[in-house]
Amino acid sequence: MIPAAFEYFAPKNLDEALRLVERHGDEAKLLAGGHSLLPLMKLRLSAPRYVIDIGRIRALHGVREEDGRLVIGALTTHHDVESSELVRQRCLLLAEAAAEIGDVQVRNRGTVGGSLAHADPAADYPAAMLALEAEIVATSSGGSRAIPAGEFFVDLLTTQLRPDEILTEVRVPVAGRRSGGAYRKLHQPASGFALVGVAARVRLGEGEKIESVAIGMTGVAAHAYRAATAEQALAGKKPGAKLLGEAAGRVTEGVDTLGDMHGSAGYRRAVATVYARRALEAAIARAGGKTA
Amino acid sequence: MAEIKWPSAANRGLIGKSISRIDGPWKSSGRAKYTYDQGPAGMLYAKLVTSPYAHAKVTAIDTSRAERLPGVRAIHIFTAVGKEVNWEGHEVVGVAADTEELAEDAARLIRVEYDPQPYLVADTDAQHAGPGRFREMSPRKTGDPEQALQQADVTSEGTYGQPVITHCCHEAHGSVAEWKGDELYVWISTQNVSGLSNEYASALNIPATNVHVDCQVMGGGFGSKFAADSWGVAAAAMARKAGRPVKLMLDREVELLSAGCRPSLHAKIRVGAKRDGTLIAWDSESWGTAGMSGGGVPQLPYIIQVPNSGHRHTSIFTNIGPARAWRAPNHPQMCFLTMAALDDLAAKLNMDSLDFFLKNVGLTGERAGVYKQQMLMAADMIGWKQKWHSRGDKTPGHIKRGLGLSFHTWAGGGHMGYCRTTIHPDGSVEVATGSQDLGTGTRTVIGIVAAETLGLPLDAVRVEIGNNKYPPDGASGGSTTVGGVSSSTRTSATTALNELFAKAAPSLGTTADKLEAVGGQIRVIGDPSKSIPWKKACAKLGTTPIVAMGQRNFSLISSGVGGVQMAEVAVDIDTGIVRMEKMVAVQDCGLIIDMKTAMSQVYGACIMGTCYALYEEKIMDQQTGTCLNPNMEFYKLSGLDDIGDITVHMMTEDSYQDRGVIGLGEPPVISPGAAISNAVANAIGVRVPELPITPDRVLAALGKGGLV
Amino acid sequence: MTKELIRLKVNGETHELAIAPNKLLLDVLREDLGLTGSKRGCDDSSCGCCTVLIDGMPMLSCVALATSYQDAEITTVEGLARDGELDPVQEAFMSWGGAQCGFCTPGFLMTTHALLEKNPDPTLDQVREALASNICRCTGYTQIYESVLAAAQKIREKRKNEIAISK
Repeated sequence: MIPAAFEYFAPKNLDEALRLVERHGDEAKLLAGGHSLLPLMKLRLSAPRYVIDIGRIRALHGVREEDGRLVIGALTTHHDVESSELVRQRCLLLAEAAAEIGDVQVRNRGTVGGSLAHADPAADYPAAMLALEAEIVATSSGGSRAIPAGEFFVDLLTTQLRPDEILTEVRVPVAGRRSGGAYRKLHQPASGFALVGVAARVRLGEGEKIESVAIGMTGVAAHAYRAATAEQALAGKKPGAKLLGEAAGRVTEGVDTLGDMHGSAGYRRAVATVYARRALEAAIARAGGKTA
Repeated sequence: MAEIKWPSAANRGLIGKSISRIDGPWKSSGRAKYTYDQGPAGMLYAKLVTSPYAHAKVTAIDTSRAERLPGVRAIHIFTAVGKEVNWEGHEVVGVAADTEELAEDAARLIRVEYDPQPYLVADTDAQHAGPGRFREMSPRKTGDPEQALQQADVTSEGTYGQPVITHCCHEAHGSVAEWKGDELYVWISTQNVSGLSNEYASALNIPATNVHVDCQVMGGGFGSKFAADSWGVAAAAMARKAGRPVKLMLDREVELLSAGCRPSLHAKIRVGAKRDGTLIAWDSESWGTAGMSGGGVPQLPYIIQVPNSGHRHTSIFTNIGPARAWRAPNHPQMCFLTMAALDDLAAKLNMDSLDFFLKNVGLTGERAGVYKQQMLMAADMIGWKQKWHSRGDKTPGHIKRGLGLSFHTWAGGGHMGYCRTTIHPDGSVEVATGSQDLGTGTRTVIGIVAAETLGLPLDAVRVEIGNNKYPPDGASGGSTTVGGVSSSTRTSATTALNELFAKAAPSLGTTADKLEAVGGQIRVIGDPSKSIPWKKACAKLGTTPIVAMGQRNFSLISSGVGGVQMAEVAVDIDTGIVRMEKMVAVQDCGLIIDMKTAMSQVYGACIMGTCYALYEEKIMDQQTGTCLNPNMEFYKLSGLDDIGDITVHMMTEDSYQDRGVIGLGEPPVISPGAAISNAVANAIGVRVPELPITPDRVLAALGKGGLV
Repeated sequence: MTKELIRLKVNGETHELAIAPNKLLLDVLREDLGLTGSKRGCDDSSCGCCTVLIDGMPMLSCVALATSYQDAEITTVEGLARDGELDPVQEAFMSWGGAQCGFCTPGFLMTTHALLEKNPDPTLDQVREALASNICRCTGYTQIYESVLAAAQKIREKRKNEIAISK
C-alpha cells in the first residue's frame, strides 16, 4: 500500500507552515509523526493534494513548565511525554496515558498534537486531556486561541480545528497538593487502541472528602467525553468502596455506547465500570499520598 | 560396510544434540533473500483486483483505462465475464506495471461489474444454512450410545465450538517469475519446491523440464503454501506477456481473505460415565465450514475410543476463502471438542481431571502407556497435585487461577524424496535435495545427518535445498519432512561413504566393510590407530567425485506420536481477560535429529495454540458478506508479552528414539486450545464454550453462573 | 510523478536519491538502496517487521515518508554489524534460536538492539514491553526472549571489559 501522489512541503518554522496552511487549507494535510495520517493515506482513505510536514519545526517540540501549567509542544512524541521527569512529577496521569499508547515503535514517532488533531474515538490522550481540563492551542496566521479540551472534540475524527490552523501546543494545569490522577485502559488486543480508557483526577479536601473530580472516558463512544453523572455522584463525598462502585457504574450513563467486533456495547459498559473504579481508586490513593 | 541404520545413542556425535540453525547467520544479518526480496533487472510489480462481494457473477470487465496508463505492461483475467466469484477477495483481474505504485493505481482504474448472488458467510449449522448449503457425512456408531447414556450414572451435555482462523504467514503468498526464452524461472514462497513444475507446465503449456523453482528461505507456510496458485500462474503469464520479470505478492488483506481458512468445528456433545469415572457413552452432532468445499472431516471423539459412541457431521458451504491445511488439519478442533466435553463430565463427577483422564487412558488404545507416562510427567512438571482445585478458584479477589490438560496424537512419518551426496576429491562434500525449509530447521537437519554419517564436522558439509534442480523431495506437510530428508540423506551419505571406503580400504590393508568414518578420519573398526584423514582418503578418487543417491528409507523412520500438555491460566473475572501463565508440553517424536530446532517446534506450537485459544478468529459479517478483520491491526496474533512460561520435555528414552525419525511440526499445536479452555473452566467455574476465549465471552459465561 | 532529490544517511553512508515524496522509507531502503533486510509484514503498523532505527530509536519504516528523514541517522539490520563483526544481538539470536523462518528477525534485532543500548540489564517486564509489538508467527518468543537475555549479558560483559581496558 502506497499513498497517492501529493506535493510535499517541509517548512522550517511555524510562520512558514502557517502561510502554507493558509494558502492550501482544505486541500492540505499536516504531517507530524504520521502514525494517524499515513495509514489512512496508504489505504487511500485520505489523498490530500498537499502534505505539509511540520516535523522540522523545532519550536513545537518539548515540554516545559510555565505559570503553573505544563506546556507540551504539539510535536512532542508519546515517548517524550511518558519518559519526561517533569510530566511524571507534575502529572503522572498524562505520563501513564502516553505510556499506554500503541507500542514502542509508535510512541517513538507519534506526537501529542497529531493524536489530538486526529481525534480517533479510541485514542488515549483525549480522555486524559478532558480529565486534566487541558487547553489545546490552535494557531493561525491571525493568532492563537486556546480551546478547552471539553469543547475540542466534536465528533468521530472531528475537532474544533479549522483548516487554516495548526495545533501548536497543549497546556495542562498542574494539580496542587492533595491531588492525584491515574489512567487505566483495556487494550484492543491486536491494535492496542482503547476498548475502554479512563482518566480520573481527584482532589481531596477537608475530612478526606472529594473536593473535585474529573473523569475522562475514551473508546466507549464516538468521541471522548466527561462522565458527568459519575463525577456528580462523587463530589463532596468521602470515598469508599461502595461509593466508588456506584459512581463507576454510572460512567456510561446517557452515552451512546459503541459496539463492534472488538466488544459489544454491553461488554464495553461492563468493563468501563471496572476500569473507572480502578482509575478512581488509584487517583484517590495518589491524592492521599499513597502510591498506587 | 556401513549399514543403513541410525547410530546407537552412544555413537551420536551430532544427532540429538542442541545445534544452532546453519542458516542463522543469513537470517540474523539481513542477508537471507526471501521471495519478497527478489528483484531481477526490469522487474514489474503486479496487483490484484478482487471481488468485494461474497458471491457474485462477473458481468463486465473494463481494463481500458488501466491499459492506457503509461507503464502498465500486462493484464491477466482470473475470472472472466460470466463466471462467478465465491468469496470476498476472490481474484478477478491482475495488472503488472513498472512500479508498485503504478500497479496499485492501475488496479484502481479497472472497472468490474458484478451481479450479486445470495451468499452465506455466517458460521452456522445446517438448519440455519438452508437447503443446498450443506452435506451430511455418513454417521458413525459403535455400540449403543443412547442406551449407554441412559445407563450412565452421570452425564454431561454441552455445545462447543471454534471459528475459522487463518494462517497469516508473515511473508504473504507470492512469487517472482522471469522468462529466459521458453524457460520459466520462479522464486516462490512455497512448501513444495519439487512439486510445482507440473502446475506451471500445464497452465502455461510448456514442458515441466522448463520450469525452474527456487525458494531458499520463506516467511512461514503452516500448510497454506503447497501450490503455485492462480496468482503464481498469473505472475508467470504476465511476465511472458510483458517480456519482463513480474513480482506478485498478495497484499495482507487478500492473503487473509483468500489464502487459507482453517475449518471451523462446532458440536453438541453428550457424554456419560459410571460413578467411578469410567467413560461409557459419547454422542456428538457436529458441523463446520471452510468455504465452498465445506469444512474438515472430523472424527469424534478424538483419540479416546468410548465403548458406545455415535457421531454425525454436517459440512456447511459458505462464501468465505477456501479451506487450506492448517498445521495438524482437523486435530486441534477435534481435540478441543473432545477434551472440553470430557473435562466437563469430570467436573460433574467431582473428579480431578487428571484422575479422570488417567482412569480412562486405556481407551486410547496402543498409546495408552505413552499417555499415562506423559500425563504423570507433565503433572509433576506443572505441580498439578499441589495446585489442583475443583471448578471455580475460591481465592478472594478478581484473579482466578486454574489448571487444564489435554493430549494428542499425529501420524508424521517421512514423505517420499531423494537426496544426492557428492564427495569431491578435495574432500569437500555437498548434499542436495529439492526440499524446503519453512523455518523449522530442515536445512540444519540435513547437514547434521550428512555430517554425522560421514564423520565430519557440520560446517564441512554444504547443504543445498530449495531448488527443483536438485533431486525431488516431497512437500512439507503432515510433519513428514524431517523423516523424509533425514532418511534420504542418511541413505545417500551412507552409500557415498561406502564407495569412499572401497577406495580407501587397500591403503589401510583391509576391506571396505571393516571401515568407519569418525572425527574426520577413515579408520579400521576396532583399531583406531589404523586410519587416514578424510581428505587423504578423498584424494584417492582421482578426478571423479563420488555421487550417490538415496531415497526415503522406511527402516529409518516410523510414525505415530503422543503428547500431553497442561496449562495454567489466570483470569480476571472483572474484565474477562485470560492470561496463559504456564504451559508444560511433554512430547514424543521418535529419534530427534536436532534438539534445538525440535524444541523450537514445541515452544512455538504451544504459543501458536495459545494464540488460537485466546485471540484468533476470522470475523465474518453476514449482513455485508465481508470479513471484518482482514488485517493484522485487528486479526490478533500473540506477542511476547502475551506468553507465560513454557516448559518442554522431549521423550528421549531408547524406547522412543529406537523407533526412528517421525516428525514434529504438527502434534504439539493440537492440545493448547483444549488445555487452556479446560484451565479457564477450572479457574472460573464455568465453561466458556467457544474459542477464542475472548474477554466478552468470559463475562458472558460468568453471567450464566460461576463466581460473580 | 515529480521526483525530488533527497539525502538519506543510512548505516553511516550518505545517499543522494531522486524519489517521489510519497515513497515510503521502507520502499526506499529496499528498492533504491537494495537493503532488503527490513520487511513488509502487515503493512498496517502492527507487526514490527519493518522496524529500523531512526537516531537510535526503533520506528516503523512502512509508515514513514523517506523524505521526512533527511536529517536523521537511519540504521537497518544490514548496519548492525561493525567491521564485519556481528552485533552481540545478532550473535545471540543465532545461537539461541531466536530466528526461525527469519522474516521477523530483522525487526526484532533492531528493537532489541535499541533496548539494550539504553538498558543492558532489562527486567523480564522491560523485555516484554519493548518487544511486545514485534510479531513472530513461528511464535518463537521463548527463544527470542532467551536470545535477548543472552545478548544483554554479552553486552554487559563487553562493557565491563572495555572499562577494565580503559583503566
